[in-house]
Amino acid sequence: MTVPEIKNNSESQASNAFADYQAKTMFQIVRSQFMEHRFALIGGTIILFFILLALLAPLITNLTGLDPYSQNMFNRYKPPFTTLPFTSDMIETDLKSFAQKYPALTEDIKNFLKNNKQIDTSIVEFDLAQDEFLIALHGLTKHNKIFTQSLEALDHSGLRKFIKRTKTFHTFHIFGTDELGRDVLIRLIYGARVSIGVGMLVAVSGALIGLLLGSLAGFYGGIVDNILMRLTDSLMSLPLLPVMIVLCAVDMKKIPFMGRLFDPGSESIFKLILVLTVFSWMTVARLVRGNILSIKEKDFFHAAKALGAKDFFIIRVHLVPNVIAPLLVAVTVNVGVSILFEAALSFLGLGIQPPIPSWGNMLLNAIEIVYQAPTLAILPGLMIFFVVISFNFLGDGLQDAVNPQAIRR
Amino acid sequence: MTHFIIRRLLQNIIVIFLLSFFCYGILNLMPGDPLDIMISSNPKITSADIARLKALYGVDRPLYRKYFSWLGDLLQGDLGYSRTYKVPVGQLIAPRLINTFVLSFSALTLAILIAIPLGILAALKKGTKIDYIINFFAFAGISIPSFWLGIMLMILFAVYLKWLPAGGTSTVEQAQHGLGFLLDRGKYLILPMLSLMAQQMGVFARYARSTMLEVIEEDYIRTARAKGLRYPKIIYVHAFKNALISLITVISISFSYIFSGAIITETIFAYQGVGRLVYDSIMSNDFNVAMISFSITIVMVLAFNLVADILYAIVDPRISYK
Repeated sequence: MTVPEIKNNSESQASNAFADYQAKTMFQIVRSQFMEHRFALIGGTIILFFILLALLAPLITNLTGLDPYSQNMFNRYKPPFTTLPFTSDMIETDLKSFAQKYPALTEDIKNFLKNNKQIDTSIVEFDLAQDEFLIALHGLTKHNKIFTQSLEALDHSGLRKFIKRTKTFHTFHIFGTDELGRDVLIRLIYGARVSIGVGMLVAVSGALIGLLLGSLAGFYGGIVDNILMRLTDSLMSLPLLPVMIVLCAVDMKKIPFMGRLFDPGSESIFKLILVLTVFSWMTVARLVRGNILSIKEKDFFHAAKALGAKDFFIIRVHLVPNVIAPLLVAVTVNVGVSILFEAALSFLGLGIQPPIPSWGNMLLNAIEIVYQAPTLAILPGLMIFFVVISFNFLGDGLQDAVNPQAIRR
Repeated sequence: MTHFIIRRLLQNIIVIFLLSFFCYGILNLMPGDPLDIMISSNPKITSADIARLKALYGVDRPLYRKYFSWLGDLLQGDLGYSRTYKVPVGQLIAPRLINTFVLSFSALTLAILIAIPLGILAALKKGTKIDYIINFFAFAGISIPSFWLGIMLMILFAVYLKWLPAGGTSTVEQAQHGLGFLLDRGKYLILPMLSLMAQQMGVFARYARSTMLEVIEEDYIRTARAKGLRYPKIIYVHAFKNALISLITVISISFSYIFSGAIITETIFAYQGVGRLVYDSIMSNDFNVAMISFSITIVMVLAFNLVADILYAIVDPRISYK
């Protein structure tokens, strides 16, 4: 009986000695590596923040009443932290919606004012439709201080609600307004939608094309490889920006089928995505091809072949996991590059066309009056800078995390 | 080696031919053709005149025939005529080409001289504060939109501090030679150069750092240390020489970026170079100018790639082209 006990003891001691060592899964290793890269973490957080902001843009419009397209020609180039009163148009639409939402309440206000004995209501016109009555009433409060004070003194819940509503008839512009009197902050937020959206879409679709062509070239080799790689090389040797400028200037109506494909409103966005995608797959294709070529030399690949594995099995089990990590890194970095190209083309007036806001075309409008309103030029550029540097750091962190040579144990 | 160079030259000529045809094709897809402008500027024109003009300029011919006639003219030394500037294209481009060369080569040289030592420093001090700072600035350089950097530099140095001119190539009344001329040109060069350099510096510093880190891990460095060589000698003779090999590729690739980047920089600073000419010619439908500037850029990029490959073979004896 004693012998097995001792054996048990020594076994448990041995396991105690290794208790602090736990086998980690691949994902855990990658995650802990990534968490150590402080810049990548900060970058990831900034990206998440901007994506959230971009997704919540319509909600922000609803909450604050700021609209990226509503112009206000009397309030152009206002400096940051300006409070502006509503224009008469905005007041009218707001009061109309108020009257539509609370018809009973409006009627109540009307009757209360008509029948009240406390203040002089002879200046109020009562034989108007509900919404027009409210607008007229608001007009009176705007110009007649004594009347306003006496109205505020009245004790009536509906009237209170109306007065409270009219108190909100101003907009606050934390970053000021632009050349058409539009709020800069909300345009930056909607610009994030366009810029980051275009960047991500281009990077992902470029990666898919690159993955397809690269794996074709790497897997089949021979003449397919030769043709595809020459194509990649010649596209890479093109001076990208001038070619993109020409492609963006192309008249879609001169190409037989393309003309009907896009509707004129969003044509500029689709054209830009198309043009950027055409030139964003080459690095990925090279990377995938190189990876596959090196895997094809590895022993496990030969073993799988020798054991009679099907092509699809080899691709799924051996190729995809080895290619996916560097692919992810390339996509992340490509998002940054695409955002920069989008901004450059929009800045030259060839990318996203106004009134759709993008950080690039906001800069284009800002540069003309850079002396009077420097914030207009500084802010969109800062946004581009922050987002692109975040994507680059994120890519760097991912690169470190998935690179087996960089694993610190 | 000669065999390799000849083969690559032939390959490049085919690529240039295909790419120029491609560019010719897409330039033809741009809105408006030369006749549209002539027709719209002349209210008295009749449809018979239009037909005769079309026949004269051969606008209705298929694309490949137009291309070959353009190529034929080009090979005979006829670069065509600029529609906007009303001068032969050769006359227009030559001075601009020199300006762009001055700008891009000075930017590139300076970027190499500053960024590569910094990258090596970061690699040698890996994990320290210096490494972090250099790395951060390298990332910033890659991520900053060059046009925005240009605008910011302009606001700071030209508008607020008034140290440097906001744009242009040279002062108009300045003499065309002598030291004063050079200083004047240099003054106009600084801001465009800075905004063009930022990205290249980031790329070079990061590459220098990562290749240096790779090289330091190699066996022969350990051998050199074991032999008792002095540390600076190991770094500058053994390690740097080998790190140089992959830097050649990056620098040759960066030529194509610098020509691309010059478009934006020259447009912002109103610098009279090819980049601005490319942009203006595309915008104003100046077909001949756009085509020639395109061809020049493509030839330039391919030529630098070839030079890089040849340099590769010279620097690295393990590579042989047979």
